[in-house]
Amino acid sequence: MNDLHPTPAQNGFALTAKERQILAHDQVGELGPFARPDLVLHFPARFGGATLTMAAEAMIAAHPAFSTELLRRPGGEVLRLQSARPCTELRRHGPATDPAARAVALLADRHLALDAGPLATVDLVPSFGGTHALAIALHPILGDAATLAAMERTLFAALAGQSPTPLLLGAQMPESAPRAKMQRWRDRLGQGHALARLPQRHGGSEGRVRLLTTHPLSIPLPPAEAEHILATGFAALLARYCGQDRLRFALGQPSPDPARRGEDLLPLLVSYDPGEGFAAFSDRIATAIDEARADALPSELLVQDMLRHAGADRHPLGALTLHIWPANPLPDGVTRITRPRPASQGECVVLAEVAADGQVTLSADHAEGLHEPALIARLLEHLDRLLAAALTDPQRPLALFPLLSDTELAGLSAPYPDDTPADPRATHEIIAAHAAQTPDKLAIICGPDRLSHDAMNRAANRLAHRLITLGVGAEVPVAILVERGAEAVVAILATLKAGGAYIPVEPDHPASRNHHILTDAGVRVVLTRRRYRDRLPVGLAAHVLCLDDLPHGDFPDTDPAVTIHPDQLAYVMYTSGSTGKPKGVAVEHGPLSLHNQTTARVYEMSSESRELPFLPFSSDGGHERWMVPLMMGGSVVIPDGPLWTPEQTLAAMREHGCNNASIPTTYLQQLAEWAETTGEAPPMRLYSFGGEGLAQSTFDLLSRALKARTLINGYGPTETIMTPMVWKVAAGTRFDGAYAPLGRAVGDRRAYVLDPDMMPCPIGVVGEIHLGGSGVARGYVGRPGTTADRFVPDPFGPRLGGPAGARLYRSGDLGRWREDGTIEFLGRVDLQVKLNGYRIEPGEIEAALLAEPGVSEALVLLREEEGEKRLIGYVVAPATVAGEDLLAALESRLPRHMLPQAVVVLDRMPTNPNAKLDRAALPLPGRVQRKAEGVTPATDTEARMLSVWRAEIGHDGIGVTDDFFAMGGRSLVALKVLARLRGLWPGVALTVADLFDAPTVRALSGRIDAGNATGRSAIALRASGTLPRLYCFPGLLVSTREYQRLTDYLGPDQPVTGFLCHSLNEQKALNVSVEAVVADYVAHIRAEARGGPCAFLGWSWGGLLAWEAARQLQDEIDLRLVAQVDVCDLGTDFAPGAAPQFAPGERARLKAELDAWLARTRMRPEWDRLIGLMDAECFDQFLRFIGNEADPLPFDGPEVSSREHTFWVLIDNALVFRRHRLAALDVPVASFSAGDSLSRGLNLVDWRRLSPRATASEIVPGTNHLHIIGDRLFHARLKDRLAQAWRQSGA
Amino acid sequence: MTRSLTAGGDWHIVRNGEGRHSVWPALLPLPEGWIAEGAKGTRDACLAQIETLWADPRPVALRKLMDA
Repeated sequence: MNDLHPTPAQNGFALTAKERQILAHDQVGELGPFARPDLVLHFPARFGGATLTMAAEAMIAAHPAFSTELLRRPGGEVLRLQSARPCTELRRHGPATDPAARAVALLADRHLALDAGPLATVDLVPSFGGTHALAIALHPILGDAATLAAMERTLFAALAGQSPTPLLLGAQMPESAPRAKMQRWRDRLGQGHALARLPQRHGGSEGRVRLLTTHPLSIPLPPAEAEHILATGFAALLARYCGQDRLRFALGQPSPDPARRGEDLLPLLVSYDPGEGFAAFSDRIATAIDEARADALPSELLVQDMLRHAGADRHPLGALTLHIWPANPLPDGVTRITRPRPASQGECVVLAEVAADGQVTLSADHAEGLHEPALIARLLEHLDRLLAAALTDPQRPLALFPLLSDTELAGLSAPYPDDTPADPRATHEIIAAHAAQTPDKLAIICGPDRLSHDAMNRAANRLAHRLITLGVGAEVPVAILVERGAEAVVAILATLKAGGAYIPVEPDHPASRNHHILTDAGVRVVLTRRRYRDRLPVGLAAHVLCLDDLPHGDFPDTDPAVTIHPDQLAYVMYTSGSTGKPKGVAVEHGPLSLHNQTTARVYEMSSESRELPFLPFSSDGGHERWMVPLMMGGSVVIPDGPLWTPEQTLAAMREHGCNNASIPTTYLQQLAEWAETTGEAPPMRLYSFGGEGLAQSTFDLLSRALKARTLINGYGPTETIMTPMVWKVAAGTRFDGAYAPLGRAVGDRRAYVLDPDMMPCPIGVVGEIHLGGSGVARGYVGRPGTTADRFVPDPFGPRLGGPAGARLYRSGDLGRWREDGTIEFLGRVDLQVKLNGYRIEPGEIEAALLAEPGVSEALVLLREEEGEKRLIGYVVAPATVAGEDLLAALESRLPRHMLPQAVVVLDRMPTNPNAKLDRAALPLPGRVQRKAEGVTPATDTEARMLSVWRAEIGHDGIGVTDDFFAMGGRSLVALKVLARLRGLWPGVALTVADLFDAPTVRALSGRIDAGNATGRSAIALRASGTLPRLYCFPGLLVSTREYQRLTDYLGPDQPVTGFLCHSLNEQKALNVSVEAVVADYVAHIRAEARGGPCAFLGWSWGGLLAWEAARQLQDEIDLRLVAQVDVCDLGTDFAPGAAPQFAPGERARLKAELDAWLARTRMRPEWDRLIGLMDAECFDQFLRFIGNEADPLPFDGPEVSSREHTFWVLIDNALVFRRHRLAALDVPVASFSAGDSLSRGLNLVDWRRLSPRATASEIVPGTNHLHIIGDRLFHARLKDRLAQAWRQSGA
Repeated sequence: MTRSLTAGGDWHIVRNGEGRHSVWPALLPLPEGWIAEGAKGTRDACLAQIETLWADPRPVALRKLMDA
């Protein structure tokens, strides 16, 4: 780039907005998503070197990119100069063995920079055999893929003997947005279409690394319709991938002008109807595309508008982007080795290149930190599958096309591998066999009771024969109303041996529940104890047997000769039933026995197994855990009482030499906590648990404290027989998810995640868990309709090798498949609520909350308050996580109607004494959480101060102990309040610092009365911490409070001091120099840091202050890092040497306008003083500035919060910084730029010019100059840079 | 999850070889081993019918054995 004036032979052009955006990126050293468009072509030998040279030179002569230079004018404005003759010369190289590889290597090493060297290069590399490679590289400011496509066409035309017409740089289109178009976009975007997103890695973040995944489409598309077809397929695919009916993504817009860069994006808003066919959907998409194009605006204008509010998504136009480009036809034998791609704007940018013959190549450029490459590869395959199927049947509803192939489904749904042939015997028969083999081996230990296998079998046989005489046989229910223990087991075995079905009834459960169970199932016999007799319903038509008081009878102790049919009932287990009465789940012998056998193998059990089953007998899992060890010939230690302390449990495990234990998750946590404190856990082979979501931290605790080799997390509704799915891992495994996975199916089962139309969901997509195979119950006792509702036909089993007529159980649980094929649990489906006409599944909202970092539990409820229904989200997360942030994050993940009204952050979910969730104790969110009226003033000072506060904040309910900022007081209000307070107490030097330190009326009044108001210029945002201190320098009119969120994020170890903005300090002298402004801060730092390490952060113009402070303190402190955040140079408005232009008569008119305004303003003296400091050039710039402003000059001063005061401060600062020169300093610099600032082409400082230890800027996308300081991504990156800086020892 | 296409449409009452009953959307092909019975209707209407239609919960093989 030159710093000269254009010569007569050059035409000067202003840069377009897109070009300015590239310039801004280049200036901060980070092109970001705008990669250099490179093109490498390979030519067969029939194209000779001379021909190619001629054609390349013709191309160079014809395209303006090759004749471009850039000129930087004083003040920083950059012009594009076009010469009559090209600046680029064709570079001809010596022959290479592989010219294409050579060309690619040349380009890889070439760096095109705006400030030195050529902006475009063309290389020709021959091979020894006569072939050639041609490489074109352009700096992105000169063009994009469309530009290169135009160059290609010119080249091919020249090769064909045509002489190309030179392209001229077209007239710039007017850039300003007609308001009507912008309003229509606001209306469209206001309809609540959520941004389509792909399933993300747990805890992943975008990062810089990008990967490329390619997929050739299996079917050709007619080129004229390719755009509509691909956009429609993409939309339908995304609707199913992100589970939303109304969504949006970005559609690439190719450059309208092949002479210069112009590639852009348009938001495409889509509503998906699962019943619609491809043809109809495609028509609607075509209309949507046409409408969007008719209202096309430069995307940076749309984005700027969207970024008006803090918390906008970091990809406001679309997290996913689709570009559809026609590929130029290539002459015979010519291939493209390297091709340009669209800008990487988005989490995943998909390019579809359509060749003239209809072949389509899909490629996706995606953020490695967010998505597994396998996910992207599958996305493209699924798109292919969907398109291929839908195009052959364009009327068929789109919801009915499968995305997964049968092979994918087989792998994902597969159980733990198990080839062992099934034992045809029933459970009790397998157990009884051990009585013969190892008769004296202990089977049951319970309290003082010891039963050997033989003794147990004989006792069960005697009782079985007795039951047979009472009419127990096939399908006859027998209630077991006995506490958990050896006798209960014997009673159960007896029932099974007699051929009956047992129903466990917990003596301690509520009578109403037990009465329901005893009458619902039609029990014929009740086995119980004398002391429980009175718990039976009056008039029960069943034979009651008390085990401790059996009538005398001589019954054989041999196995009864009862044959069990596999379809025969084994037990009926009553569910806890969240709604309505408990339902009896009936389970048959065949599936039960197979389940137990396969479970024994997955748990690697043997005759050596000795298990402590802690689960209650009212749950089916409780029975699995004694049946399985006994079936292997092992033993069980049954707790003799409902509640053992952790101490007792561990002691029992030690005493009896248990090697397995099965314990409910919540109790296991208590056990682990005890074990960790006392170190008392005996070594075990295996712990199994389940029944609730298990967070990583709890799992880690179990791994640490319990000394087990293997941990098993089990899952299973009663309807699918005990534990149909387990996640079996070595202790210490990390699982990368919200909850420990459910794992995979056990035995003859398959586990599926299905959408509402029975379609298998792709990995990562939320659906309802269904279980199939033989391991499902018969159904619900006495409820055929409910049974038919939950147990549905299985369309997959027979296709995957299973028998016909199979069934699936709909679990009502939400889940998703993980990359390793296990299933992850996400919450309940049946808590679906209706709100404002929409069906909402709280589980989906909970899943979105759980995906946010820091959130370990989530619950979403519909709460009703004063007749109004609201969705409220509750999360368990550390105190640094803010509910508003989570809500903002949800805005980009969920459709509008699914957004909770508030998200409340808790330390833990409230539980009742039964350790169940206590919903009533969940707090209602309120803007002002107060239980009583505000505290009344106690002194005269307090009273007077309180009335000022109430008036200025606008809230009558404020009390003297309420925090100013929590009550809604903002920074500018703070200044007004302070001004009024100083009016009431003149001579008291109150500053904003005092208000921050003492933010209540009571505390601040205390200071006034005690006379120790400080008048300081610095505030400790966090006073203490182990790390060195971070000093924050404020921007224009920035309250130090703006740094509070950052301070909270950086955590308790990081002390932070914020300096008060000099324009907010009441005692400001006029037009102080930067050096003087900073002197105060410097003195503070010098005194506090005392030569130790520290870091600076400057935001906006605060960066210039930070730099000056660094210069003044150079040798006195160990400055480890200067973080510069979106620091703009002055811009061209007030730069010395940049003489402004006026139209004829304009200057006089502006001067008259200024004089008229000065005559009326109440800030006349201040303005006069300021204008008095301006030299002639500066005064002209001031006039020009006024002339450029669209709004009229403000009159509302001199209040600090007025526009006029702000304007005055702006000009005051401009004068201050105008005279200031940034010096070179050798300090480490971390530079951050807001994406929107770069889009606007703001003149951000390139710190690499000022320090050898400055890196290129990090771009924070999706935020602007104002909001970057509160942006979480920025916070995270700053924290990393600070951590690095603290680790290094002194320079 | 997206809206369901099949939930609000027509459903069949279906039965398998074991005599177990269930329901299935008319829009989807019947899974192997299941046949449709009776007229189509809403899902709830089909379930209400099954409540009276499906009298014996035992699989057919077991019924035959026990009745013999």
